[in-house]
Amino acid sequence: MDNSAHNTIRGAIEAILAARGIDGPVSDTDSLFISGRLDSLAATEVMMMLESDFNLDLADPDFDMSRLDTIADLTRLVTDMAA
Amino acid sequence: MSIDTAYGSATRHPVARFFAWRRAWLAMDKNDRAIAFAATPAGVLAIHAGFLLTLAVSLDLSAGLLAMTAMALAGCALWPARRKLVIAGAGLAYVTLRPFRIEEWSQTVESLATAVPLPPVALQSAAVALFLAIAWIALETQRRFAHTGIAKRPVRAMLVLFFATVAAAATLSQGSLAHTGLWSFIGVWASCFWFFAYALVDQKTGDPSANYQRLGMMRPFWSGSATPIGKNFGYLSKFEAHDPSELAVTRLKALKLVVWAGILNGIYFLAAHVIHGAAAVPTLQEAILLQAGGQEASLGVRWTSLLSNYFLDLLLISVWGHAIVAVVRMVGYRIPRNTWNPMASRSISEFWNRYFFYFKELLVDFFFYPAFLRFFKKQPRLRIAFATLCAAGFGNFLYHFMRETYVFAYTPNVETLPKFYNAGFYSLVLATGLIVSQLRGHRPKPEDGFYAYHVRPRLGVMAFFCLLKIFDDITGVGTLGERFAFLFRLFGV
Repeated sequence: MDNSAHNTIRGAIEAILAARGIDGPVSDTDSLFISGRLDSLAATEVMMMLESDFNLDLADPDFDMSRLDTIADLTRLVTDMAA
Repeated sequence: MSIDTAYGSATRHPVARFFAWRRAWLAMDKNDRAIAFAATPAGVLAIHAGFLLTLAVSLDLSAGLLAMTAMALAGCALWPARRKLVIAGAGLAYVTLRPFRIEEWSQTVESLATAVPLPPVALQSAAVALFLAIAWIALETQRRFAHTGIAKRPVRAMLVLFFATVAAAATLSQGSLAHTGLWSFIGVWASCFWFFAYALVDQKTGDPSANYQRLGMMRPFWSGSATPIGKNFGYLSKFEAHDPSELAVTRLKALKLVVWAGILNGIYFLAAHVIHGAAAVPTLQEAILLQAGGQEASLGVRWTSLLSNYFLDLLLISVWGHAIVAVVRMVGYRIPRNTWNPMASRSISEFWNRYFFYFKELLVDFFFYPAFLRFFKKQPRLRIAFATLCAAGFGNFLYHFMRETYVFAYTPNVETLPKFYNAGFYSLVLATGLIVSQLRGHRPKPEDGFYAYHVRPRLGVMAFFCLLKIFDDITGVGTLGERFAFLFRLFGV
């Protein structure tokens, strides 16, 4: 699950970055949103990907948006919510 | 004097030397020698002295605010491990001494105080004390009952409570102590509202700060705005310098930014004096009112008013945003800038992100994401459109409406509402522009050619915000009709 989720998330993030003309490698711990690399519209694409590909319900009031900041965060979120 | 650069003998020429100095200045936060010096006691002293001198000379700060900033920065420099405590202490002093975000709230309290046997300063102090006490109780209650619905959606609960309090205050008879006291309290609450909101969200999401520290962030000492630049401790902690080298880099970045703010302020001052002084071009608001009063300026003057308003506004927001971010960085948090080259934007949504970053963040955090995560999940485009309307339309209007609620202390009825028509229209058009910008599939690409990539999209963004500024008004002076007339007359209609 971890590897598959990680690969899916990495692929989606790289596609979002490429669509915005942001080149260069992105590590699992690079900040995507807090650093300003991606904007809130990109965050909506990430959230829709999490909902459609992993069936996550992010509408839970306990959900913390800052948990979406890195590829590692996203993978952890998917793993935690699936558990 | 020669400068050791890769540009060799060219540095002898004054222009080349200037650019060499500029490059060295801009790169100093990556220069190992500069960083090492900045981490020494002499370096810390020199950076702080340079920083405060720049603030004092180039920006229009009061002596009191400058003194408080100096003391807080000194405290953070002496005890970096206890910077949160210093920030909280300075924040408590700041909210006590300057509890209101806008001058109109101070004037309202002074005016209402004439009818009660208490001086305005006593009313203000009592209002601040009451607000802090209630904020403390709210934070402690949220902590203890974290699993309740209100604790999980604290901002929604606070918004409802705020407007219920405004409605209750509007029913009290003017001149009574209850009326005066409650409006004073609402003034403090409105000024601190979004800082308080971030404190509640921080606690919900597990930020380990103590609640007494959060109380000191209800109006941090660097805040001249009701928009929380740097949000709260939860956000700041992501940018905190953890060792002397990181702190030195962060302070060097702060120094660079405050100097840049000073330069931009000089440009703003000169440009405003030339345009509105020497050339006697009216401000945009003046031009609108002149036309409404039958004294229409020439077409060239009206366009000059419109365009100069746009550029001067960009300069002004850059100056104060940079200054605030620079202070936060001096404290030890390397937060992103508030304004970042907005004229480079190729879309309306990009401009919105670059123009006033922390206000955009506020709207996204408290309106966009909550709406996006709950509504229209099966219809992606409608989902984004609705969430954008909630943020840039409803949230934007609500933010400004809340700040101006003092008007209901004098006229607590629907007669006051026309004051807000301009702001309502502005918010609606802005939201529509952002929705279209976000839903448009086409993004300019370099292969589209120079004009289509570099020029046309930027001109489009500029035209949109330039014209939208005609309706950017919260004073209510100059009706919506008069502003539409001004817009049409710009195009000869």
